[in-house]
Amino acid sequence: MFELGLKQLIENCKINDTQAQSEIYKLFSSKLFSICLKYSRNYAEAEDNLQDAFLTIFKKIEQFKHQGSFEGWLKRITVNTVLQRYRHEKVFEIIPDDFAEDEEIDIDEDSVNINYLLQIIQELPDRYRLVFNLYVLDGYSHKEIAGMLDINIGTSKSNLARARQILKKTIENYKTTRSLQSL
Amino acid sequence: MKERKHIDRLFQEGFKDFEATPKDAIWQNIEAKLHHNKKKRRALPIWWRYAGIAALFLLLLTVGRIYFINDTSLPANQVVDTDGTFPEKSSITNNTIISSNNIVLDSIDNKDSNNLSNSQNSIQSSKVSSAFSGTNLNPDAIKSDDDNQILVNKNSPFINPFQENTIAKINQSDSDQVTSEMKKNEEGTGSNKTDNSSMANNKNAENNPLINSSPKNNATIEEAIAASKKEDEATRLNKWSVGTHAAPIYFNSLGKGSSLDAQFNENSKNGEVTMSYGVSASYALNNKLSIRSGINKVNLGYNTNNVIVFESIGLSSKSSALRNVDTYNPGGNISIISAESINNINNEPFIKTSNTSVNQSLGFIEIPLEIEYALVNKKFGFNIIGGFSSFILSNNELFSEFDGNRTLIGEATNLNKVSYSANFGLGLNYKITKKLDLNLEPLFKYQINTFNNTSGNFKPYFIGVYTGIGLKF
Repeated sequence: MFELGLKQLIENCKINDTQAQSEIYKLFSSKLFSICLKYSRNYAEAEDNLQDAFLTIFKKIEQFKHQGSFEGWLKRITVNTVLQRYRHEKVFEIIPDDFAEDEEIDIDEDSVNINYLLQIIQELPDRYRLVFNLYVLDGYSHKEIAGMLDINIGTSKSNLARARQILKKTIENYKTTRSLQSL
Repeated sequence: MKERKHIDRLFQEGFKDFEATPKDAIWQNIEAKLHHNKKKRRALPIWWRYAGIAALFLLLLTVGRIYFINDTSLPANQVVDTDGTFPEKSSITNNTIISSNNIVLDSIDNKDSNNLSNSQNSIQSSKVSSAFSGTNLNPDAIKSDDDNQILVNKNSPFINPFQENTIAKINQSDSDQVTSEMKKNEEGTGSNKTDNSSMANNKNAENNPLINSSPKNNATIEEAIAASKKEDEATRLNKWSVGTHAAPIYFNSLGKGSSLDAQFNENSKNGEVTMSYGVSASYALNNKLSIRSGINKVNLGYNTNNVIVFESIGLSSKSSALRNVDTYNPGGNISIISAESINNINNEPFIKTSNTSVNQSLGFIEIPLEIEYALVNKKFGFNIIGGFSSFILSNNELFSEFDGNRTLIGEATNLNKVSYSANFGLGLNYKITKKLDLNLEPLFKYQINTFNNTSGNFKPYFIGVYTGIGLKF
């Protein structure tokens, strides 16, 4: 029933039906906004990216032929929109490609606030943030990431390792500070 | 002891069901952009196309008027300038409907009934005629009255001259004044007016045509303001560009033949290198295509070589007169014959040495309308240009030229006052800054309808290499 309704909504969007566009937005904006938040530098840029993503979606919706998941299609467009914005931001840091990627990066299990996690992801340098999101949270392989960001696989791996290190350090510092405060 | 886990897991679990609802304003923005784009894409270019056509039309009218109407005598002074802010002379009013003149009429405090009668007459006559030529105010009489109650009537440029309320756009604040003024004066002057129906109307403010006209005229003024605002908006788009250019022009004919007379068909001819210069304006429809127009002055020169020019006194000129040439010489008749044709008949050796030529010197005002298509649009630009031009003849002279001495002998009779050309060429430009371009445009212009009675296969054209600068805004 829902699928049928969705299909109709998509068809209506293709003829620029405002009502249908609004329905699609209501259905998916929360999911897509979470992607934007994770991939963007801050809340305001996430909002910009969400807006751009939806504009692209409604512009390209004609090309969606009901093969594969619509949600997946929406997510891909959203990720691409964000990547387009940040992928050419260079990371001016030379990291050897043979960076030890299997280094143990474990951390104490503790309840860490989701908002805090989001904040420290957003604070990562652009490339680290994109690679970490793509690999860890959205399950892309290094090969895919290398293609999407126009970098080589080694760079993708080392960027990921660097991102993990930064995140670990940040969380540990945060915890230390917190426990010191609680004393 | 707390369990240690990989940092990836921490984030994966943390973000597993992460969703965030964006603010409502985001959708409003998206919706606005979706619809704004639709409207903008359609409405604006259409509006601009019409504006472009209108501008071009106005340009043609203006140029045509300047060119064809040489009579620039000023009509009787119709304007009484009260405060010096309005133009004193209104010479254009007689000739064009679209006129920006402001006619200022002074309505006089009705102590003097003659003055009132004058102004009433002027109002009535203006209503009827579009030319305002019947308006004969006596400026002295009006100016002499120091207690003038001034009523300013502005003639809006957008009003149809045949409308009843042509004459007046009254400022709203003025109209009350008028009414009260008229009422006040009604007693004193009503009896003096024998046939002034408009005066009678003034008794009733609602019937007063002047006052009734106000809202209508205000509307047209608002439209005018709106139009000018739109124009302001457009200049911000950086799509307009103006420029000046100059070009060496080489004029010649594609086929053999002569524009002067059939006997010159076989004579050798050569074009002269002359100059063209002018101004142009262009509007970019999009980043590839732009449309442009302008005004150029074009001089063309063309020599027909190997001719004999002689002056015959007392002979009938009919036998030797050229078909398309009107010679003028107070003393006698000038005859021009082709040395080659004589050569054929007489085979006289001395004629072979003849090196006299007939030089035809033509001047035109050119109004091109061309489309430019950009193939490369970077620091260096490369365009294809195509279009047509209208030419208005401005100079038509025929010289005989012998050893560098030029003598004016007449003019061609077969030149059309208005002619056309098909234009084609390439454009190279170099962007010095974002606003300033250097242009180099070799253009080929094939002339159509320049001559109406040519001999042989005479197909005139000219080539010009136009160089100039353009300023975008």
